[in-house]
Amino acid sequence: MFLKSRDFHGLLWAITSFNQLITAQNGQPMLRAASIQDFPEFPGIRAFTPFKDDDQADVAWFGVSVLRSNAVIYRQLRKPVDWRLPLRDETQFNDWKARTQKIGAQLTPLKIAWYDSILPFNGHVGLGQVRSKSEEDFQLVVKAGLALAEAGGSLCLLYDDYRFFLSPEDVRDFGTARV
Amino acid sequence: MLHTAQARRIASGSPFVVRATFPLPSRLGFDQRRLSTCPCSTTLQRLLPLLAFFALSSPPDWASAADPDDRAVPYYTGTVYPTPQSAQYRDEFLPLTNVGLLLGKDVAPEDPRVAVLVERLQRNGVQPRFVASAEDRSETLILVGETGAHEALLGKLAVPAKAEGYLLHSAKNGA
Repeated sequence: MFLKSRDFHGLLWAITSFNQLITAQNGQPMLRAASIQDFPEFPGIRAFTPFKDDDQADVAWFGVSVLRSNAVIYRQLRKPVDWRLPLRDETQFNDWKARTQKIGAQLTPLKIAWYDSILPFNGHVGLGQVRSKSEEDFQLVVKAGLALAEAGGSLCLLYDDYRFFLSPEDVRDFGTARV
Repeated sequence: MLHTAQARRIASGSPFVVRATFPLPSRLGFDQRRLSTCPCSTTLQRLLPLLAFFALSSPPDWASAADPDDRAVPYYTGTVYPTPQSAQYRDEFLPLTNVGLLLGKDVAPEDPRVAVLVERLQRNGVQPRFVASAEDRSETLILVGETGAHEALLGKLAVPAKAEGYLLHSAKNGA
């Protein structure tokens, strides 16, 4: 059995393809014979988002090994009330940090880029929106980024799909072109 | 074969929603934005890995105990997913009871990709041995990376000259 590639991820995909061909016959492990030449049609970033708000390491592995994603974007800091809460509360922060380290242990050695996201969405003006002049918001974002960097990941400030209200403070401090 | 409890969960709908934030290859058969809106033309074969994913999203308790490293997928479907650029499957099966792993100079034993391979073999009851020579008498020899061994068995097959390209080829020595 040959598993060959031209680069790091090529061999990873060769191995994950090989893994899909392992089966059993009469209780004995067997491998279906095959000849495969493959490469992604889109060689850039192919990202996958586990939607649920925890580490979902098994789902992330599905995205990598079966969908061949080379980036995984989490959104654990998507809290319905306030994204700051798990960063302010040390118990919640340590729980989140442990999950990020678990993610990092799985994805970082395989050179899969991964992010956790702050999704500052809240349907109520005045709750959850980033306050651009706030030193506390700045420090919490830095705190999250440093913890992710320690685990081998990166921070994503995710503004996606929704209408994001400006915080009243930002409207006051910077004005708005929105009507 | 899916566990019956998993099948029931599939039938009742998964509690999770999966979204792709960047375009996925159209050859996956998925909509470019939402995996949950697969085209009607998607074949059952293409859906199997997705069904496996939904089953995995709500695994029974024994699954999490059996797979602490969260690498249970993929499940065997007989083919590789996503559909490769070129694939020939043969109705023959190689025994994995006595497996040797010969690593190329570009692959270290502690390479995390090798761990993915070894984990999978071990999960299927295989205890592979690292071997130093292609002449090892393993029943099935897996050549990982650039070993330079048995190249004649590749014939005209080569690794595609593309980013992330790979070649997987099984052959019988002397056949």
